[in-house]
Amino acid sequence: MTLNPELRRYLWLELSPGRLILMPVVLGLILLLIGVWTFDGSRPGGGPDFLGTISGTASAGYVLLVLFLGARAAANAMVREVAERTWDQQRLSSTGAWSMTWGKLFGSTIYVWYGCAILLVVTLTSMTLWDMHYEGVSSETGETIPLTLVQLTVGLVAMTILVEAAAILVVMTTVSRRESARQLDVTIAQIVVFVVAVGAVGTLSDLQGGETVYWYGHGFHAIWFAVVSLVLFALWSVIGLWRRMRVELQMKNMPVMWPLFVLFSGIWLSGVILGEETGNTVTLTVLIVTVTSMLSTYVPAVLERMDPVHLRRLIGTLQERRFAQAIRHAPLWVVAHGMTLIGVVLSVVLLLVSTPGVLLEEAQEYADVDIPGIAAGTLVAWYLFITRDLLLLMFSWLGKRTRRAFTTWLIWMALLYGLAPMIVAAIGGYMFLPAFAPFWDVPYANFAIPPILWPIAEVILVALLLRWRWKRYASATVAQTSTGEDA
Amino acid sequence: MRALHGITLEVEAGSVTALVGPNGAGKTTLLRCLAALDTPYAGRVLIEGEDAHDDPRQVHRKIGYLSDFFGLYDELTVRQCLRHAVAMHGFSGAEEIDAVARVATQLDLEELIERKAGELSRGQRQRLAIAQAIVHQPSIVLLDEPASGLDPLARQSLSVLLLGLRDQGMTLIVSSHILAELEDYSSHVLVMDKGRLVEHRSILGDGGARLGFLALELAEPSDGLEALLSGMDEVEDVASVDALNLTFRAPLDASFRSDLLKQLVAKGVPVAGLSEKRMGLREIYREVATSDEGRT
Repeated sequence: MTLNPELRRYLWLELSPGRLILMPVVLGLILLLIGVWTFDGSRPGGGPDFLGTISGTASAGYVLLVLFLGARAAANAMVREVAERTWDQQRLSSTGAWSMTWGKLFGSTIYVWYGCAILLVVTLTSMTLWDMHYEGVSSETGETIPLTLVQLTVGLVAMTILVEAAAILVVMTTVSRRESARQLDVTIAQIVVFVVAVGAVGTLSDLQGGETVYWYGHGFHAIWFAVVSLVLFALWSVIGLWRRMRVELQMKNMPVMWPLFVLFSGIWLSGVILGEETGNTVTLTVLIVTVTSMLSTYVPAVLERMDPVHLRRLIGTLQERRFAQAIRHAPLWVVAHGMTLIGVVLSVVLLLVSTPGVLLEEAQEYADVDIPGIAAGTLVAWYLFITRDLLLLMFSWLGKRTRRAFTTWLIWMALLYGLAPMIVAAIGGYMFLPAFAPFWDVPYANFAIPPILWPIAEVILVALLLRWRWKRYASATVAQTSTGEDA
Repeated sequence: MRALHGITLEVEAGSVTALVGPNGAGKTTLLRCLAALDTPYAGRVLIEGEDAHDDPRQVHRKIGYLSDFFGLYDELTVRQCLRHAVAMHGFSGAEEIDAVARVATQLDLEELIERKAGELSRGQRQRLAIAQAIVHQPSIVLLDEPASGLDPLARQSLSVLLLGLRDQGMTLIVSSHILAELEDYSSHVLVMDKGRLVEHRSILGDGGARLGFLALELAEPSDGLEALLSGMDEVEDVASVDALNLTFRAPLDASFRSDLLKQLVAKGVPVAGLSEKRMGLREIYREVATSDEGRT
């Protein structure tokens, strides 16, 4: 069997004899320092406190090692490749995207995996001894020890993959957006994965062995549900990394993975929100998937590069009626926006036509207002606001200073969602509030102007501004081409 | 930002093309597009019939590319660098070992094989980078400013190396703004300015001989001489300087000149002298740069 060349390179770089000795020595000393205070030589295995402390410290150490060193090593690997100009050589090789993905994912973090393996062995051994002599584990989790060890191992390994794949993915996306690499990208990646991992670890640690989690009315063993969910999201992070790698390697890509991921996340979340609900769940599921899609539209819009050359290429292929190529060139935010539109249409139809489902019916009883009607109106208004925001982002990218496009857009967002409505509310202009966001405590009937007209007007206005800026950009490019000016 | 404007060119297999132009002319962008590292807004790049942007991975098997800021893994030894480069192209086992040995010999890296890349001199690093670019035996090699920062001796050995690659049947495109170094091995010149292709021509004659300019001096004016010369197979660009002097492009070898003189004398042309006015890359570049086309 041939070893993955990327993995082999990292083995050469990362696993020197000195480093191989250093890791167990450092980890052993830390565990010894923490465990020595609870060690009782007269009792089997050093006593229950000692075994509990060691297993707890080793498992916590595992998580910290992944969060700090694992995420850093993974993110740093990509930043160094770009900064040291070796990334082009990698892109020029004939290695496939999948081979590159797993080679980088496991190779760049191989030393961290080595440390994690040591800590996992210590955790599993101390837990087994603890349970064997004092039944400490099974009494706490309500599970047999082999099952607990499998849950813990699968959960921790899935979390490691999720964190490290997400770290590389974040760096690859930010680096590609700016076409350069800097150490700040590593910090950004660490912050993002820290938030992801805290959520994942928090979910795991909150669950008790005996609990049941309801998902679309079906009861699941809580820890197994969390572990399986973690494995599925880890799988998505690897798929995301593989997809990103394909883009970097200039392979043809149909934009299907992002919509599938958003769909999966929406369905998963909807099942958790619905919990024990077994009635009509279709409307609420579509609604939650749509809201997930709406929020997730901003992710690729913010992360992807949206420069005029890409837009021109997209418009050019559309004008030449090469639709398959246009879809391949389409930025993900366009695809996400299209998917959101489908979700909004479906949601509105379901809200207005079908029975709303138990949760919405309950809300209606409390509020005594037309909940489905308001929900449909809010959804459409929200969609229009997202459209306005994306048009504004494109408007910023088409400006003279593309490097500052994103910052300019952020200022616009802060103004439109924060400062402006605060000023308007402060001077008592409540009727103008629907111009800034779709949610207000004021009943819609109290507005003199139908609230939906505001975002419609804003979308039209920004679209006209964008058209003007696009024409200016296109004419400037034509002028450059005819005079040979190199801008 | 538009880095390239309407470039159309065809590069002959087995040729060595000197890609020249001032800084910012678009040389690096053109090479990156040819290597399928950057995607042009419009147009196609065909490498041995394969569309570089439809199937870049297939094209990468045929291409070796040395960027102007070549990247090396400083912590790896020369052997490890080469093994990694060749393995990334799908070689393994004995094939991998053979390829590394072959390229190490070719680039004179055997003595450095166990040294770390970070410990090498600029010239040695450049040799290693070229070795990495050609280790998979590509048919086309793109080199962006390969001689930049090299001392005269290293430049000379680079010329020898590139001639060796050409003799192995590789097609080379070498960018540089130092024309002297390209003159020794180039068969074609491609001049770029402000993102446009200004000139792309062979600097060799039909038989592969280097073309140059010859200056013909007459003892007295001769009618029809320009037409007579223009009608000859190997003569190009005939131009009258004045009534008694003409210049034209033709092979520079002595046998051609001897035959030409015999023919002219036999036709009664009052030849007073025939001298070589060799035109190399520098002259071509100067000629293009000062022409109207070059200025636009």
